[in-house]
Amino acid sequence: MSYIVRRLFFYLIAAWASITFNFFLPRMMPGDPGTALLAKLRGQGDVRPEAIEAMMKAYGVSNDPLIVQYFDYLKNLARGELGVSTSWFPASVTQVIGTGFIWTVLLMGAALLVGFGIGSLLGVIGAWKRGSWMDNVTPPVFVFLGSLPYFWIAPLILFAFAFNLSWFPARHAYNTDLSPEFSWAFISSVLLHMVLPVLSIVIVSIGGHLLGMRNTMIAVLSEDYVTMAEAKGLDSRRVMFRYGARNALLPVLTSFGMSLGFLLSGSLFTEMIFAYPGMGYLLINSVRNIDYPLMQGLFLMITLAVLLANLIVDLLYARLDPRIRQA
Amino acid sequence: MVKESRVAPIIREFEEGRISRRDVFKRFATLGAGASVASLAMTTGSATLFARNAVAMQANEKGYLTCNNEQQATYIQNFNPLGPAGGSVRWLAQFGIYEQLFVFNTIKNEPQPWLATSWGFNEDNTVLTVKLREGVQWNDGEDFTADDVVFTWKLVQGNESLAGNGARTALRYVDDIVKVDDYTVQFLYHTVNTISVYEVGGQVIVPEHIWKDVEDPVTFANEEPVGTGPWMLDRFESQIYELKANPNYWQEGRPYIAGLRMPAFPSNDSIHLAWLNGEIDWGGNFIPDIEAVYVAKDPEHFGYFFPSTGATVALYMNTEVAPFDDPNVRKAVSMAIDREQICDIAMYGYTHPADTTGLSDAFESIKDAEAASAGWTDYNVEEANRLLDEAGLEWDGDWRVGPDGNPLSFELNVVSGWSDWVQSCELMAGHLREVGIEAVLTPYDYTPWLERLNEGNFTMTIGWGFQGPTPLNHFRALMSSESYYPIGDNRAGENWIRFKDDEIDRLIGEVVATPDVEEQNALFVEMQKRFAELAPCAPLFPGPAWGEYNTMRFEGFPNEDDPYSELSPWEQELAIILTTVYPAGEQPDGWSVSAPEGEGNVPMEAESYQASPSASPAA
Repeated sequence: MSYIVRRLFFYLIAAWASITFNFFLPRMMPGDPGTALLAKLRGQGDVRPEAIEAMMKAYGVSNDPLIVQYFDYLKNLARGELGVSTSWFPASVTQVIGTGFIWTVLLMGAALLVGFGIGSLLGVIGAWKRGSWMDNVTPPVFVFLGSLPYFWIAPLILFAFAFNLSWFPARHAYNTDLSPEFSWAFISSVLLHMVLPVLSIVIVSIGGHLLGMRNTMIAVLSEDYVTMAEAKGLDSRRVMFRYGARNALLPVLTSFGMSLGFLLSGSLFTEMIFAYPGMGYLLINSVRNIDYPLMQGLFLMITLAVLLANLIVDLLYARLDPRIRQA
Repeated sequence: MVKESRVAPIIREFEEGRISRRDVFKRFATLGAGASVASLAMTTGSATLFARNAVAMQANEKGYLTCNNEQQATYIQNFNPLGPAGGSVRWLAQFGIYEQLFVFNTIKNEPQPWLATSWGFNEDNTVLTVKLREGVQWNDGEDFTADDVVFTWKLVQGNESLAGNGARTALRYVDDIVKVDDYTVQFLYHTVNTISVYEVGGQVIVPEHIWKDVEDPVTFANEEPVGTGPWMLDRFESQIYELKANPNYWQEGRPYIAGLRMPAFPSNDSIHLAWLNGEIDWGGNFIPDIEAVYVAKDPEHFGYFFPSTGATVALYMNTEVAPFDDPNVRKAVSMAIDREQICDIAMYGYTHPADTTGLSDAFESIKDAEAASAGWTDYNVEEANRLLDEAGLEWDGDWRVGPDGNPLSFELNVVSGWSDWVQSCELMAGHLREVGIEAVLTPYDYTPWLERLNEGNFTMTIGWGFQGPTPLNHFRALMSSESYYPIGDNRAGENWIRFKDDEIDRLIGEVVATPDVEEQNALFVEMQKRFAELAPCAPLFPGPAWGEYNTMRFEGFPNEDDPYSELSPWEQELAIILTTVYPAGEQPDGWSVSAPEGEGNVPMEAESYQASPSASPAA
């Protein structure tokens, strides 16, 4: 019990720290929202400085001292208000994030689960049958694929499977002739559109998961209790998963938790290449336009997601490993 | 999955001339699963293209025209055409759903009546009278009248944060807007400014009966727009939105097409792929080497129109920093640049070298031949070296040195990632080496780059030009005290080079005081001569107005053969294009380019307006 309380306290402090960083970091970037605004007006020719000032006011760009702005920010945050996005004005940050959130969760979640699942499974089997042809082939192949630059392999996949073979759609989250609804036509369209983006991420991420799992698994398999289990004559699959994989999973879970948190930041390249809606594009766009409220909103979600994922991992640890509960 | 065996006979029938192209599409469509039809893209010749286009044809059952203008990953539903500048309003809220009084046609260099039939100033240019078209209705059935025009202008006038698209600028000279009768409006000027008529014409009008109940027009997202235009909202989703034709549009019979669809594309690459796939009908994207990359894929249907009518891109030198305070040094720098090479390599031959007026082809008809051929935009290294010698910038080893003995070495600023500009600058740095000036290519991110320019914290940079319906914007931006701010003052959003000239100020004063286009043009010639004499910057090339089309499904786009307007979806003349195009092979009887009737610009009688001194803030 005290373990959980201590963890919760730690996460509370971490949340405050990240919220604070969240506020100050964007403001340390070169440039300011006013100039970014002006930059967007290029080509419209005749914008007078007075107009810019009026706009800054409308956008809620404040000239108060930073510390005052900081407490305003905390106050608004406490009320759940993330403010108005300056680059998507007059839409609120919540509304803007809403356009990409679900797709990022779907795409990155699927990619993470598939990548982690396949990678770990291959790692477990590889470690179990060390020296077999599979163990000799899979790690180098997937590590090689993983080291290929994503911006090179993803367009290749797009070009081969969407453009040349036309097996899968080339862009968007669903067929643009359909509207979101609870029907098989729509759901199947969403699934079909996910195939290539997910595949591209899985291909480059599988190697990492595979190696992580294989290495810890090998260490676990040399433990006495595994030998003991085998000596008892237990079914080899039972030994592999219940005795080996379950214990090997502990350190791997940490990295899984980290990726779980980071998945919210989306994948900019995936979104750009497959024209898939999501938070990665929003993030880069908010930085380009020096849109402080949107940046804060996005970073906040990402940091909170990382913290939450780690908290869950910590709690799971306690569940998986009784020693931690006593410590 | 569709088998090739089912597609091949259709193509064969077509190639033997037994069925029409339209029939091919129809029969392809019945095969279903369009994506797999496209797998035939691997077969040969024309069949490839038809198979490919069948996909797009089928993906678009409603017969809507697919276009691309905004680069977005997701859309936010916002159709407020007056909203603050820099906000995120959807394309076609202006000039598509809401309409302007008249449309300025860049190619013809003249305004064309639209919601207004005629307009003109009175004797002393203090009152602009605008006659509105009768019989125009909002798409909810209400009549469009003078009340709506007055309301729209007063709304912008009373709301500093509303940008509008012209009203904000014109309101610097306008005191009041009054309704004379249901179809006549007068703009009362406290400061004579005849050129602002174009801003009055371009401002789109919103309906009073709806907007009068809007609590805050600045934050109003106007999700269900009611306009007078040819388009109405059909559906809106975060990755696509569609507009359908307004059945009661005032230009009877138009638009000829059922609707428009705007799928979201977050990057140039994804748009390019869609272009090649024949999925987009109209757009304004930069496509490198377009003849080979795009047109060659289907020369019969794929086309583009890149008139050099965009603002002129220039090499700007800070004229308050030595040695660029000397016009001869600026001319020397300009002559050292091989513009032909830049146009060929960095711009793929899409444009041509600028002349010594700095004006683009949009003003071809009013360019002064003498001013345009002052010589300092011609590539002439010898003359450049002579001028630099004369200016006392002596060689010292590989580089020239200034009077203080320091070598002439300057940062040449550019926006990182803007590949055409970066390449232009790389070439220029090479050219300047020949005359002993070291230009150190220094890329910045967009915002910091612009910040430095606005503050005057730069020596050399490449940058865009300033253009409006008349050359006024160009000269006012680069040479007038109206745009001038000293170094360090970041309000210099146009006059980055910190240059002003009394003669130009005087000419501007005269030009805005006459409504007579002939007189205006004579004054613009004087300004051109001044530009040619003083060389405030080194103009490089007029920017191409990007526009591509695909006539597979729709025809009637402007192009080189029929340049009735720009093809660009960025200008207000898109209103003309979208009411002119029609489904391929179905040209309507008596089809013509959209040109609503009206007398246009004519003198209008009105009593002279005397502004009360208190009511006329300094312009």
